[in-house]
This record gives sequence, structure tokens and C-alpha cells, in this order.
Amino acid sequence: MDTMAVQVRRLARVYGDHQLGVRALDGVDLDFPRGSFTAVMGPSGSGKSTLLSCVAGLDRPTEGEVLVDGENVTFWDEDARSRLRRERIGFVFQSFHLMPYLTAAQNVALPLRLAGRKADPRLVRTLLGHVGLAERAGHLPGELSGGQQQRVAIARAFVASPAVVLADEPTGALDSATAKEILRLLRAAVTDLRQTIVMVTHDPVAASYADRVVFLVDGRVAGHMAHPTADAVAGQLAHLDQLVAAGSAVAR
Amino acid sequence: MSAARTATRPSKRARRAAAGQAPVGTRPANRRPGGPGGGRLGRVGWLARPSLRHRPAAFLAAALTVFLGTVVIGPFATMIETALHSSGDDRLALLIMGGVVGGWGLVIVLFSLASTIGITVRQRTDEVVLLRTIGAAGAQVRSLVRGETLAMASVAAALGAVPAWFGARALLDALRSGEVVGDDVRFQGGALALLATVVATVLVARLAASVAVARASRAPVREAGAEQVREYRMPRWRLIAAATLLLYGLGFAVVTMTVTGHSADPYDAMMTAGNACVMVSIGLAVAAPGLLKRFAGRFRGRGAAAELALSNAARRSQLLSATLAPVIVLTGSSIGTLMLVDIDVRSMAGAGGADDVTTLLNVVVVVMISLFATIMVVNAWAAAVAHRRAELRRLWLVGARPRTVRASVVVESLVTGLLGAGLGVAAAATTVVPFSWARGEGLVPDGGLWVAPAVAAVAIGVAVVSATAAARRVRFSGGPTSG
Ligand SMILES: Nc1ncnc2c1ncn2[C@@H]1O[C@H](COP(=O)(O)OP(=O)(O)OP(=O)(O)O)[C@@H](O)[C@H]1O
Ligand SMILES: [Mg+2]
Repeated sequence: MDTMAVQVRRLARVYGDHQLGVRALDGVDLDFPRGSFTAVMGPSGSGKSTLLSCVAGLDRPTEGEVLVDGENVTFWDEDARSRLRRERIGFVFQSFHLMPYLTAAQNVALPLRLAGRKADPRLVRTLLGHVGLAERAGHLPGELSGGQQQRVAIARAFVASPAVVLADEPTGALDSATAKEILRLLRAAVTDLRQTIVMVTHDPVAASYADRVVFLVDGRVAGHMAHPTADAVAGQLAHLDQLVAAGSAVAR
Repeated sequence: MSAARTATRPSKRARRAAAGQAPVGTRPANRRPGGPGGGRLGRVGWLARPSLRHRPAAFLAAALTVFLGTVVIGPFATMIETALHSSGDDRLALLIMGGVVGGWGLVIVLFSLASTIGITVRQRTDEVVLLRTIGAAGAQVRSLVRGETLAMASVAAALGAVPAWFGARALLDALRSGEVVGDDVRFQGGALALLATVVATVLVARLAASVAVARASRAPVREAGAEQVREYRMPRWRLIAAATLLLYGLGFAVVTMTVTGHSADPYDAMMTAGNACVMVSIGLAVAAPGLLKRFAGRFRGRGAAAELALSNAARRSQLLSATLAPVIVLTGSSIGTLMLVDIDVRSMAGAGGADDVTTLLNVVVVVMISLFATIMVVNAWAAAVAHRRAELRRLWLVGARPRTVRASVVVESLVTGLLGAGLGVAAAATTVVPFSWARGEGLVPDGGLWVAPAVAAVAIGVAVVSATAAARRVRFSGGPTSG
């Protein structure tokens, strides 16, 4: 039990009517061990972002449970969920999501300050150093490139030493060279610091940095792949696309 | 003052929460059924300064509303204070000036204030969602927004008290030289009245901020983020408030025709009829989001600009309704009151002329309301366009010409201007028709009909010019990266 950072059990999220609505997640069972790097892949609309939202308590699951560090957080109220995010979950989004009027260093320190903790300037400096932005600590997001902003977001995600870092297409808006730097940073956090990362991505190359790939189709787990390579992932995705095409043809 | 005390009570808890103290009587232990509690919370007040500096346009629009609100209400409050130190007819005249005329001003000012603060707070939904995503508690977000509003409103209202004091002196001078009050009436300091005005304005601003941020700070985060694009439904309190005001206003119209119209004193009819248009205007203004949605949803635009404008007006009626509401109030109460005066002057010509004091009071009401409503239209457009700057830029990035983008904003202002003027004319009719009938001119007054189209045209013009000016300020250049 205790070796799992996050577990989801029979997780379902229905938007709209319970019977007729969109089943964004439909009975998902997944374990994310401590110190693992998992990539979540699947066609657009397959429920990847919804899965991350449910794990982070940004959204309430319709059915099923979410356990973080072995603790069932499914029924927590909004205050408790915000505490969960503050203390045990880090976030990286596709579109950076930094506070536009705070400097890089202030953005990184923000989760700690929200938690009423002293934001140790040395910690912030070390983290910014790790992501190669020691020189840019005093800059506003608008003065940084996309890749630099994303690195600030990564530093922020790790600042509170969370149980898990959730990344939704963290390289989706970046060129491939910058994307590689970001992926190397994430990989290093897992290998060197035993952090746990769950990353949604559409890119087989990005997925190959993970220990394992989980494929979602129509809100269900459609397969796993351990020790992924870019080619194997691309092949599997093509196969899934055929399945989806066949499925919708049958449905029609 | 007791109202002031009740209104500050909840903030103490918020302050405790923001200071990281658990509310009295709760323990941060893991025993509560809802989960392990909110945990320790840090202060967020320090965010206010960079945040305000980041949004100067919206910040100034809100501050200007608070400032002008104080300038408008202050002198009337001062008249009441002066009245308390005088006696007899003077006292009554001052109380009417302060209480009745100022009362209407107060209602309109507070309503505008609430709607402008509403926009400036709601435009920060993205920021609120981001803060909550990285773990800010609802209480922290609320205390941040309230704190910012409080700081902004206190400064703006305090600054407004200065011109309000001069305004009060000027108003009393006008009343004295118009022989509404005797020359021996002395101006009374006004410190108490102005303080009360500042406190009331600040409290309303803060309350409006709390209401506006409530949803984004309480709903599950993903829903709070999706809210902006979802269909807007008017909350029930809004419907009830609108219906009450409309019925009240229509009630005055009916009473004018059935009761006061037959009264021996010809001014009884004016007392009731005069209120109708102001009440109905404000009622329609409260219902503005729903009305705009209905109205804009009926049209199909020709050309990209018109299409963009109409679908935006229909879908985001809540945002644009802040620009619609003052147009309704401006046209409704000005046309209603001006035609009322006109009918009065005409029908009393044979009976020794219209009552000068009443005419003066009415003109003061019109001037005050029109000036304020005009500034509110300008202000609301500045705030609404500032809110959408990123979105307008995005349209440009996907290939719309700056001209098309700006034109779509101008079309929006035409839509809200036309609708607002139309509704205003309808509201004015609830005063004009009964009063004209009561003074024996039939359902349509014998003269002065040009007032309606003239005021309506001015109101539409103000809306279009302020939207054009606001759209001009949107910059279309630089790279695609936006904060
Ligand atoms: N607020 C909502 N209301 C209704 N349906 C929604 C809502 N949010 C998401 N959905 C639906 O849920 C499904 C899953 O959405 P989700 O965002 O999780 O997809 P995704 O796998 O992240 O897709 P992408 O790769 O395009 O980001 C989609 O069919 C989407 O239309
Ligand atoms: Mg997604």
C-alpha cells in the first residue's frame, strides 16, 4: 500500500446526464508507484485531462475513489482538497500558467507562501538553478521564453516536495529541442530525487522518457507498455487509432 | 451604523483564516468527516499590489466609479446633516433634497458600483482558478479579492470626499440663491455625512466583490474554470429584485392614474409618477443580462464583425450587461423626468406657473443621474474591453484584421445602445403616460415629444463613442506569447 503515491479505483466521471451524458472516465483502475514516471496517452477526448483533474481534486469523480499516499481523498471537501494540492500535488500545464505579475522566484515560492510557510530563498534559488534559470529569478513571465516559463512552472511544481507531480502536455507548446530539455528535467527528478510523475502527452518521443505508458480510449484503460520506446509507442497509438475508427464505424 | 457593524463581521473570520489561524472551535486534526481540514494558510495580502499594478485599466475604471460615486452621493448626505441643524421649512426642503433626490442618486450609484466591481472581479476568474489549482484555499482567494477591493475603494472614496465637500457647498449655495432655503441656513461641516458616505461606498464595493468572487472560489476548480463560457442564467435574487422594482414602478404608474391623478393638489400626481420611470429603469437594468441574451440571440449578423459581436453579446451577456444597464438608466430616468417637467410647466401655465422648487429639484435629479450614468457607460466599456484584451488579440492572431476586431466591439455597443435606449423609452413611458393623463393631456403629452428620440440618440452615441475609444486602445502587435 505505502509504496503507491497515487491509486485510482473504478474511477468514473460523467458530464451531464448520468445515463446519457459524456462518460469522460469509465471505470479506470490505475496504480502509480512512488518514484515512477508514467505517461498517459490516448486520442483527444479520451479523458486524460479529466483523470488528472480527478486525482488533483480539481474535479469530483462521479464514481470510484482516489487515494493519495494511501489516503482516500475522494470525499474531501473543497478546503481539504485545496490543502491536498498545496501540500502533496504539483502541477505543470501545457500553457505554463504562471501568475503574470509575479517574478520567476515569486512564482516558484507561491505554493509555500499559500501554505503559510517560509519560502526559503536558498531552496527557490536551488530549484531555479536546477532548471537552468538562476539568472532569471527576478524576471516576470512576460520577459521569459515559452520554454523558460515552463521550466519555472516545473520548479514551482516541485517546490513543496509533493507526493506526485501531474503534468498535462507539458511539452505541447514547445519546439522539440526545448521539449527535450523539459523531459530531461522531469526524468532527472524521478531518477535522482525519487519524485513521482504522471504526464499526459501526445508525443511518442516524450512518452519514451517515462517508465511506463498507460493508454486511454473513451475513458477506459486500453493497455499498458513498460519501458516504452518512441517507435513502439507510435506503433501502439496507430493500432489504437484503428481500433477507435473501427469502433465508431460499428457504432454508426 | 448598525448596518456597518454587521457588514464587517464576516471579514474577521476571513482575516483569521488569511493569517493562518484556525477559526475558533475547529481543530486542524484529521477527525472531521469532510477530510483533514483546510490546514495552515499563508497570508495573501502581498499579492494585491502587483496584481493591481498589472491591471491598470480595470483598476482605474473601478476606482473612478468609487470616486465619482462618493462625489455624487456626498453632497446630498451633507444636505441631510445640514438639515439636522436647521428648522422649519428649511429643514424640510433640505431633507427632501438630501433624502429623496439623494436617495435616488444613492440607489443608482450603488447599483453601478456593484456592477463595475463585479466585472473587475469576474475578469480575474482565470487567476482565481490558477491560484486554486496550485492549492490556494477558497478563503485565501476571497480575502485577496476583498482586500484588494477594500484598499482600492478606501483610497478612491477618501479622494472623492474632497470634491464632494466642495460640491456640497455649491449645492447649498444654489439652494440658497434659488430661494429654496433661507439665506440664514449655515453649511454644517459635513464631516459626519461625508464619512458615512465613504464608509457606505466602501462597504458596497466590498460586498459586490464578495458576491462576484463567491462562485469561482467555492465551486470545484474545473467547474469554476469552465463557468465563463457556460450559458449564463440569472440568479434568482436578481430576478426577484428586478421583478420587485418593475412592479413597484408600475404600481406608481397605476396609482397616478387611479388615485393621485384625481387629487386636489396637482403635485400629488407628480410625486407618484416621477418615481415610476426611475424604478422601472433600475428594474430593467438589474434584469439586463437576461434581456440582452434574449435580444442579441434573435439576430443573425451579416459579416464577420457583426457575427462575432452578436454571438458574444448573446453568450456573454453578463459581461456586456454592465454596459447596457447605465444606458437604460440614463435614457429612462432622463426622458421620464424631463418630459414630466415639460408637462408640468405647460399644464400649470394657467394656474400661476409651475412650482420653481420642484422644477429645480427635478432638473438636479436629471443632471446628476445623466452625468453619472454617462460616466458609467464610458467606464463599463473601458472595463469590459480591458477584460477581453487577450481574447481580442487572439482573434487577430487567428487572422482577423484589427479593423474587424474593433468593428465587432463597436457593433456590440450599437446592440446594447439600441436595446438600452429602447428599454429606457419604455421605462420613461411609465412616468410620462400616467402624468400626462393626470394633467389632462391624454395618454400622449401635447408637446415635448422630441425629448425621447433626442435623449435616446445621445445615449446610443455615448455607448458607441466609448466602445470605439476603448477598442482603439487594444494593441495588436508583438509575438503570440501572452501571460
Ligand atoms: N465541463 C465539461 N462538460 C462536458 N463535457 C466535458 C467537460 N470537460 C470535458 N468534457 C468531455 O469529457 C471528455 C474527456 O475530456 P478530457 O479533457 O479529459 O480529454 P483529453 O483526453 O484530455 O483530450 P485532449 O487530448 O484533447 O486534451 C471529452 O469528450 C470532453 O468533451
Ligand atoms: Mg487534455
